Amino acid sequence: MSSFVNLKIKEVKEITQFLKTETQFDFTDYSFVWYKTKLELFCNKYKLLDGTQLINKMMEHPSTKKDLIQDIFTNDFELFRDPSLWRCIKDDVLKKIGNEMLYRVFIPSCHLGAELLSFLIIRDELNLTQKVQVVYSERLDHINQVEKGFEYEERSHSLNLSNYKRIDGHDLNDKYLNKVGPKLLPAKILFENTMAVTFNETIEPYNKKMNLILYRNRMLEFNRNLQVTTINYLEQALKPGGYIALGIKEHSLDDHMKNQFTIYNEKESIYKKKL
Amino acid sequence: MTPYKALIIGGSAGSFQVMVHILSHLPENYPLPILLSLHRLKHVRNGFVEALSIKSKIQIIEPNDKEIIKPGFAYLAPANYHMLVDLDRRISLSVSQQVNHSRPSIDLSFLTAADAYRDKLVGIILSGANKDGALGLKRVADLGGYTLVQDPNEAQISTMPNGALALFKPNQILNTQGISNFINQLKF
Repeated sequence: MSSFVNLKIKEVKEITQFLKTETQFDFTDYSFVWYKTKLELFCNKYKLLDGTQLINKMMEHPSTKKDLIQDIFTNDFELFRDPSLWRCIKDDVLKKIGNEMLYRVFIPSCHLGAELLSFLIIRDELNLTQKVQVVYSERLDHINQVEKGFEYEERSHSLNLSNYKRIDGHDLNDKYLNKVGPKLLPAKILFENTMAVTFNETIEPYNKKMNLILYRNRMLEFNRNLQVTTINYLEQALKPGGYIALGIKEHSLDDHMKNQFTIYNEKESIYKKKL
Repeated sequence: MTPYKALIIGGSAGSFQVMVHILSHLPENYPLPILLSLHRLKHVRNGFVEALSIKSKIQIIEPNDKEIIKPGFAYLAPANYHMLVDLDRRISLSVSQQVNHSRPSIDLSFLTAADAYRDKLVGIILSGANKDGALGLKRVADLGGYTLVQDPNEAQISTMPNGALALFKPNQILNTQGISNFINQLKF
């Protein structure tokens, strides 16, 4: 490749309008540079030279729309990203469950499911499967695919099982993940007491109250308006005293959040909803 | 008065000592922001800023998402994040898939910084073992920015400088001391 597609602002807006009209997705309030880069990477992948060619391809081949949306939302598949966060969840946050009858955890926009699988493994290790219900959601309609496994391309994804070892020094038990050819199959037992829903947390609050929400690095994709809207919806879905984990580099909302949350663990970006 | 508003430097294997040399020769009141997109171990959160800071008089920080880019600071792409630059000249971080098997990807930092600063950007590619950064540096040149490549004969690993040189002709090819001198004279 001798050059990288450079979409003009006008072209990005035209693509946004096209997607808004043709799909249910409106990227107006997404981080402009993040979104533009995603579009350009997609154009490069399919050797499209500009925005017009991209729109034409979506009109001629409607499945391209779904491929594009999926590519826009797809992030890396890395289990136990930031091991110290998982150590904190395991040894601190979940240890405080106490006598609650049902502890609910919400993982919105779980995409390929790395965050979900990481949590489900920890839940099983702590023998909390029956007590801790996990609700996971996706803005696309392929939510159940996570359970069916994941096409794992070693060079483009960082499965990174060494992350797990960094949590408390031992290897991940083989029973949780089976690698069959290029596919990674999570064990069925992990999905007990879980619920998959198609849901867009950026446009409405979830209708059940949660004890813990894992929403790490999702808001990097948004501009400030959408970040504020989304954090308000997530706050509504959280019980008083409940926790929300954001990405370790997501602090742009700290000022906004200080009325509703206290900082529980600054290094790991864990916030606690005020009582 | 320099016509430039920002400096971006990309490097990988073999670039650390060059970066230390450059940073240690900058004055405390250096007037431009410096964006550093350097390949690094993705699971090691701490230590890199500290190592680069030992001899640096300017402050080196790993920015948070949406942080405003200010003159006089060096912004190091955090481990395991792509560091992009938005049109309003704020940092935008991303956990998207690796590009050129790298996160941070030097290409993505350069491509987006070029869009944000256009002809007001200086882009520099240092030593490295893959071609990440070549396309990004070319966009800096295409949009009127000034481009430098570390002399492949001096670079500890020449793949990255040669990758850029295979794509286009930069404004200058310089050794470490030459790059350092060039950056310093930008303050006048």
